[in-house]
Amino acid sequence: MKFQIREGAAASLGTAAVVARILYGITIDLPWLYNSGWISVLLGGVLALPVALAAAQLRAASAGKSPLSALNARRPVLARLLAGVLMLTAAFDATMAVDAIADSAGYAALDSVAKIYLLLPQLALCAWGLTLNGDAIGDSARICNRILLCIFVLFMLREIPDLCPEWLTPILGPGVPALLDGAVRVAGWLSLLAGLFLIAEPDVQHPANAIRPVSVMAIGGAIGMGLVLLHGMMLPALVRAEGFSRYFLLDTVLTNGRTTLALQLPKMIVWFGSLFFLMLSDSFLCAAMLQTVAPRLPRFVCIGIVAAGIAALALTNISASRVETPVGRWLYAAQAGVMLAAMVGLALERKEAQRA
Amino acid sequence: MRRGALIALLTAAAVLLGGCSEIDQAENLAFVVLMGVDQTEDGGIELSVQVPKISGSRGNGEDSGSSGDLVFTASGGDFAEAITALKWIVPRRLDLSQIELIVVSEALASSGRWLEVMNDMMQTSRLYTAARLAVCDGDVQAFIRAEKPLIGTRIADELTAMFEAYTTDGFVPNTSFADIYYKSISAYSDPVAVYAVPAPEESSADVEPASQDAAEPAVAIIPDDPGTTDVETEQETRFLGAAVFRDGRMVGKLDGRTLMYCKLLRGKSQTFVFAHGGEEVSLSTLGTPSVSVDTASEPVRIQVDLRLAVLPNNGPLEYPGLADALEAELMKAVDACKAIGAEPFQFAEVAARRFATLDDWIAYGWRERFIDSEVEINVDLKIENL
Repeated sequence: MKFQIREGAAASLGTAAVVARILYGITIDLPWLYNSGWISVLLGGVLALPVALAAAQLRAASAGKSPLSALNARRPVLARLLAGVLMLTAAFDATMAVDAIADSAGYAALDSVAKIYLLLPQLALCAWGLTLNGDAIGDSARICNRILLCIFVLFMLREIPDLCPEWLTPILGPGVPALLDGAVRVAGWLSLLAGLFLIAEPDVQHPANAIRPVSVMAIGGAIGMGLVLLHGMMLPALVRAEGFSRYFLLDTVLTNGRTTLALQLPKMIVWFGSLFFLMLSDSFLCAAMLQTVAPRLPRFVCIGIVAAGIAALALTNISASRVETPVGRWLYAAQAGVMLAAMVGLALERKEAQRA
Repeated sequence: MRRGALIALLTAAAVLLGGCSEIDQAENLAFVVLMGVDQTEDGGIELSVQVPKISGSRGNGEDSGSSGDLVFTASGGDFAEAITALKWIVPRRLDLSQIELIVVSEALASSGRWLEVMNDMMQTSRLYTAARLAVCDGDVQAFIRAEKPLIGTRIADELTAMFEAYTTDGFVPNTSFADIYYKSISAYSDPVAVYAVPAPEESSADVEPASQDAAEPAVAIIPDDPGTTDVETEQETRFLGAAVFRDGRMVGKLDGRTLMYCKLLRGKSQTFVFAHGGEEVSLSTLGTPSVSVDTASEPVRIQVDLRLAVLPNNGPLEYPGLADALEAELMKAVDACKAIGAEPFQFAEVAARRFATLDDWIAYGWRERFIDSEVEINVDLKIENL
């Protein structure tokens, strides 16, 4: 049985995943952007736009199939190569997501816990989710998006009086080079949607749910930027902090010294829920790409390989800054390269069709 | 249908599995409501915590606070060592997630070590950093022991209700421990914390009353001396005014009146009574003040336009000289902070807008420029009639 996802479900899942990635990435992975991270999100969105445009072009040219399926039928070698790259980038990002959940769980727990105990339950849950296939995951994301939004609105109403827009200035914060570096990373996170755009099957029964890659990316980016802006207004730029531990940064996001005890649980629910869908999105993409690279692999074997692979990567501490920081810069290049290759393939086919 | 059943089964299993883990009975935990931080004579850190008794009669043993709740004290070379020692002597699992108030001694707050201690506290697992911070004049352990519920039965509710009332009336600032920490490591205005003192041991009739009467020229009518003997109360601790911090170190105090004016300049909504020309005028803030900072001029020019409403009363319809009197009082508050060398008015947040990057802003040297700045305050009164 094939991993597949309808385009409506893919849009919901992609939006949830990219919003979580941006919020976690800017506030936890890139603390040196201080309160100007939203500029990086904006620039990153602009940078990633060509990826969405390319995805839209590929979907338009696929006529009734997902772009990857169509490519696989015509040029299987190219399709497998592109799928291989997308699989690796998805696996990398899934590892980041899994580590994010593990760190958050460690923060929420009263004691420090061995990493294996933090990883196994979530990976087991992820594997179970993958067995339900993409439509179930995407539809769950759609429902949860609405629930999480309601919870988010409730606690923002409480925290609005504590917002201080002045803390967003000086507007360029750490300076242009740091913001541009952040923009490249954000573009990498946004371009991870490319995989979902390539595998989303047209929803023949509900054509109104047709996925619009540019809209999905723009909405996800805009929501992520809004959340980063709100975070920037909750506390001043901590320029004299003596280093940023994960625990400290999680504290600034999840409690920031103002959230009343009553709101901390809803905040945790929103946080863990959104990170879980990020993990599901990345691991589903990884599994689907693995199935494209090795079509003979049964679905459950793919799920096992993906779960075990992510666990292995997470236990190697790949999310440590010394690895994640340099690798994260190349995510956009890899994803954009894939889309460029696909577009070149499409252009060549059109040329051949014209000759014929 | 099968999938739905599977989902329902797993959800139910997850709910039931919750019972398989170790549960925390409330009696197994020691909820800290008050935490005191002081320094020892040999440069270590001493922690005192007040833990309410959950059940049973309230004893009056030597180790009990005045309320009958328990007070435990431990010390160590640093905060981490002191917490570890505390975990040992408290015969339950220490829970720091319900702290209402953190009290630090003025000696420690004024030392260069306080920022390091705050760092350690922020890194401590599940220490509730939204608790209020108070700087205490004197011995922190004695202060913690003296804190007791006066009207209610639970110290946590007592503190919450007291601080809500005090912040509404402008007696103390509405800031949390995390607020103070974040501002201490940022590059904007300086933070303020609650200032607290033990109540004077006896009230003396020979002591000249504090100058709060209307005969005093043009002042806000608000207690300004927490150690005043003009009041009698069973409460053995008093909270009034603020401690001002700069770069993580306490550099001065604001009395009740100066704190009130500071609140007005910070844009906090406040209603207060002002004595002027033999009349008592009720005033209320209207919106936030308009603050402009000209960072290009030398010295820096700060212009504050503050709107206040004169609330309806049976007094005269006009108050000649009231605006000038208010401006003079507000300028005194600014001058008092300049003398301390701190800027708690959030003028820095306005000034920072004119800079492109944080490096440029930090290089500007705001605090030194604020001390030499020219500040002009303009009060615009709106008389509200019935």
